[in-house]
Amino acid sequence: MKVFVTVGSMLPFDRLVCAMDAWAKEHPEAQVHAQIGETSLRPSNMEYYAMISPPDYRDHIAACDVVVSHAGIGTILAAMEYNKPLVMVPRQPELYEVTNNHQFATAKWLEDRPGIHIIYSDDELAEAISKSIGSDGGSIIETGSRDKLIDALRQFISS
Amino acid sequence: MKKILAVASGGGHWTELMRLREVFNGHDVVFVGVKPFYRSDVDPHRFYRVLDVSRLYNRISIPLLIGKLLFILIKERPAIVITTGALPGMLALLLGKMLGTRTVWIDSIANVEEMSLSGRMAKKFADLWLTQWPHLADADGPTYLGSIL
Repeated sequence: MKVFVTVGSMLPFDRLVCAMDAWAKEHPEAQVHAQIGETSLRPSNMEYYAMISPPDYRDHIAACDVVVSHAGIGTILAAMEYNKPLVMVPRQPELYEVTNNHQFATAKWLEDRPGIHIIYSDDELAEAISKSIGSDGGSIIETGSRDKLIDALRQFISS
Repeated sequence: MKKILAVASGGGHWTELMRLREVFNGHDVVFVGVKPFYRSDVDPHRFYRVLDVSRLYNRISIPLLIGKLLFILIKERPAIVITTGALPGMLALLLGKMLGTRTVWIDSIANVEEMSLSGRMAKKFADLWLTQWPHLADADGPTYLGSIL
């Protein structure tokens, strides 16, 4: 079983990194790779990297059985693109994990989508991961509004 | 063919910009990102790396960021600056506007319930001020013309 943890590139998200390191200790059979950002944490039960380049990032997503992450749009789109189940923990502004409440808004928007498990407490992590393993990932949301936006922007540029 | 400067912070901001790259087909586009490794995503187009800042991260570098953005704008002389956020993109629009370029703000699709703070600040100097959510658009507010999905 392969788990890929990713918390994005700006502020640290040590709460999730610590929780996943503890999970990895309890699950020695799992291979856990984690992108942990700029933090002083040194996880001892998983492979970790501060930052991962876009091609390596895609390789990690493609290779894993489940993605565990913050509620960042980049990760959500990547997980959907590769049909990977996603366990998502929104960053909390009160804990200085993010500048505002938008990760909760994102979580609320996506909470009923198949392939996405949103949890608000680290205690739910183990259950959410075991439920996600082997389940289908979500597929990319195609609303058709992308072509519309691209056309509108091209028109603005040419005008 | 127009010269376009396309600016985005890391993570989702960059991914959203990449999902719109067909917009630039046939134009001369120059990219600005916050991580050196984003260069490979836009090769062979020109790419500049600027410092990453936000309200909670590396604020002390804002003057340096402004200097670099000014350098890029003066050197490249784009006709249009377009950004998917966040703070570096907002500053690029402000400086671009001061230098006479046309400007486009596309608020991230992550901002489902309200425009981002940078997005609200960009209102004053964005010629096209966009949200990706129809329910956030109104006559005085941002315009909805579609989304990256």
